[in-house]
Amino acid sequence: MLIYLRDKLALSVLVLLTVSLIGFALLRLSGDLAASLAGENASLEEIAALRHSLGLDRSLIVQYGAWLADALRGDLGASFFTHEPVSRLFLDRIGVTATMAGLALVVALALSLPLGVIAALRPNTWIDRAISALALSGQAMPGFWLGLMLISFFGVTLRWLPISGSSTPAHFVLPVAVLALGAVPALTRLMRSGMLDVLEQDYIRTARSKGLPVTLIMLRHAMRNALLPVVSLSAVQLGALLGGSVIVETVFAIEGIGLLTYRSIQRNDFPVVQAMLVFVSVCYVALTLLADLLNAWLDPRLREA
Amino acid sequence: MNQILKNLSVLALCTGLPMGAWADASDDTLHVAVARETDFIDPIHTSSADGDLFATILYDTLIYVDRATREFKPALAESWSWLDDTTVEFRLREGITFHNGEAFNADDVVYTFGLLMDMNNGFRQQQQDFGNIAEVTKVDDWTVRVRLSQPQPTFENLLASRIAIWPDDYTSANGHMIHATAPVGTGPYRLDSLQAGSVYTLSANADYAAHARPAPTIGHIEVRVIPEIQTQIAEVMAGQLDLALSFSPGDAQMLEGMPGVSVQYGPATRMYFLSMDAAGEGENPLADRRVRQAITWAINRPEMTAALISPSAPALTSQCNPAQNFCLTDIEPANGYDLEAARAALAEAGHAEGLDLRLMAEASLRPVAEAIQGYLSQIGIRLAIDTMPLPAWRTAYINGESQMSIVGWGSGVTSADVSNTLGIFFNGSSTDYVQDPDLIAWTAEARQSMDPARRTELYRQVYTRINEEAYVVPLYGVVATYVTSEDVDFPVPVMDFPDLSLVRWAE
Repeated sequence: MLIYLRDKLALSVLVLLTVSLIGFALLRLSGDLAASLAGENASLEEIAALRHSLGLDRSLIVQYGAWLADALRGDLGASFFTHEPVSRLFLDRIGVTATMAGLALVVALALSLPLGVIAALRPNTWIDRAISALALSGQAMPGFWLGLMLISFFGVTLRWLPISGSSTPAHFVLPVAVLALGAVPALTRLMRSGMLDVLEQDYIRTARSKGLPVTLIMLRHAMRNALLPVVSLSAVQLGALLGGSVIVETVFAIEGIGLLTYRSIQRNDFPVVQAMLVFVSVCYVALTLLADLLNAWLDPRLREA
Repeated sequence: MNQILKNLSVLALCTGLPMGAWADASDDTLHVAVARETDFIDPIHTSSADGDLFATILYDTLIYVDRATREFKPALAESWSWLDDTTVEFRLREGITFHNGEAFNADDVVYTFGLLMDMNNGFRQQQQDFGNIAEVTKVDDWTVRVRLSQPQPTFENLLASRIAIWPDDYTSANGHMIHATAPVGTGPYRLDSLQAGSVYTLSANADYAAHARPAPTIGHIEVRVIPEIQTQIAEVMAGQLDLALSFSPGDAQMLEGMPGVSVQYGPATRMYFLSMDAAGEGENPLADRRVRQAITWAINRPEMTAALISPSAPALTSQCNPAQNFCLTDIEPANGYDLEAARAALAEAGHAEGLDLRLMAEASLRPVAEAIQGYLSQIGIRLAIDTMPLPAWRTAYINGESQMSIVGWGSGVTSADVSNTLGIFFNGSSTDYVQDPDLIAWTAEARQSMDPARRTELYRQVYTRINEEAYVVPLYGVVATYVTSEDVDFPVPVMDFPDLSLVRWAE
């Protein structure tokens, strides 16, 4: 297990380095950052001076090395625009994003687990098909469109909920709903297929033949086993929710790291975008690693592979 | 596809949904929305137009530009006079205090100018905007003299926009970056709280010394950054906003006629033009004036402007926006739409069978690029369009890689003068795709001439030469759009930099 852990950790570090290098190169190649920062009316001399002061006239690999060395020391640099440290910008906003992602995952699980179980218990019936159709619709709907529709209905027509901002708990209801509905389809389908697999196992038939109540069989035997892949997927979904909040935070004007990233991309605020890239990569890699380890712990064959 | 979905959602928002009451004046708070966050809220650290909204009401400048007439009026300086072409003397207003109680006097002006002149401070466009200030002298407690290195007829524009006056004691004790988070000025509003990039709350300065503008009447202002225009539309419809400042004319059109909503349009100083590589060497068809004329005559600018920008937007006939000082709109030749003349000119230039050209543009300008492509196809020009993010386009343009480009130019109060727009495009630099020695000389002289008549004469020569040679195709000016509630009396400014302290509750 330790060897497996060592290999997985090494792979994770390599993935992170690769992502950060590719991201760094793409951002640098997206245009002259100094020209963006200097302002529209800046002279060529001012642009050149700014390029030099930011070290943008050095070779790409030297710039990356300097950035990596600083990042490993915990220094992610400062925003080119507001001059605030990137770490502070992130720390000020991560709470909002993490809260939304966490709540969205809880809501998504609360919806998808029962839906998956119900669909598995009634396979190929109209209930199963209706749940599948619901899940497909959820997956097909773009987040920004769903967000605007919910705003239109609950914010404008009914006036039940605030439309944008993050000053009260009520402000989080609609964005959490949008994020959760995006995560429900995959979780529901996995729960359904897991349950179908488990329900065909011998020990379930044995439990039934012993005359155990259906509820007990479902809760104690079937769901416990069907949940394992769902737990793994949930870890990955959490990464997606943390990294995928850009659109939802933009639509609902919620000051989290998603909106920060959106703005930073718009104005080429390179240190912030690079930090966000690394943050999302770390989330994905860490959560995927966790899921891998969990699976390996549960299934010894994976450790030996 | 995304655009289609967005449009559908806007349509859904705008149709068949009940309207609510507007946010009324009961809490004496003006609820304002903008789409973009500003980097700084003071005008010295940034030249960004987004920051101007806050800077105008937090700070006073020595002189104030009247939003109704564009006249310069005395503000912190009760008078000013030019002693010679490079020296201006200010007589300061007495009895004014900063938000923190610090008294205003000549020391604050001298201190602030000292920071502007220290190029180590790294203010945005510092060299460009403040590099000409050579010396500042305190004559007495209420008199300050500023000497410039070169004559600068547009210096008053800077004085009325970027040169806010900071309190010397407060700023020196805390460092100038303190104004990014805890600004202290003498303006009609003071900052109560700031959640960077999200919400800014301000309250009226009860001690405001009204001079060029009246004291504020609305108690509080809350400015929220709402990036999505569709979300702003929803907020407007739900009655949660009193003033929305970031709508395009197209977005605002959907709100016209809606009960409780008022949509107004005003002039803006930004302009767009089609740049052509007239000075390029080698096999360059655009070096031929007849080709450039053909392109100019083939584009129906009034039609394109009305359809794509706004019926209220000006279609340009000379290389300036009519909202700017020294813009002359009676230039001959006007180079109007004339398809037959365009075809003939292209044939005369030896391109009767057509021509392949490449147009670069920032991504959001794609509809305009496609319209131009359509117009030019009528005379046989096959235009390849290359749209890209703004930084990438700017880099390519500065590096001289553009054959044709759509260029947008001008922002801030400084762009109220045409010298800003003509700026770097006719000065012999790498962004000058024309390299006409006469234009270089005329614009250089106009930038330093203190005689308005001489400047007018020089600019007339400049515009005439540009049109005669069809060096560029002036396209359109921008329209500022203001969406307000009916509770609000919003005076539409003559420039796209509103002063929120002038907003009143409607009677």
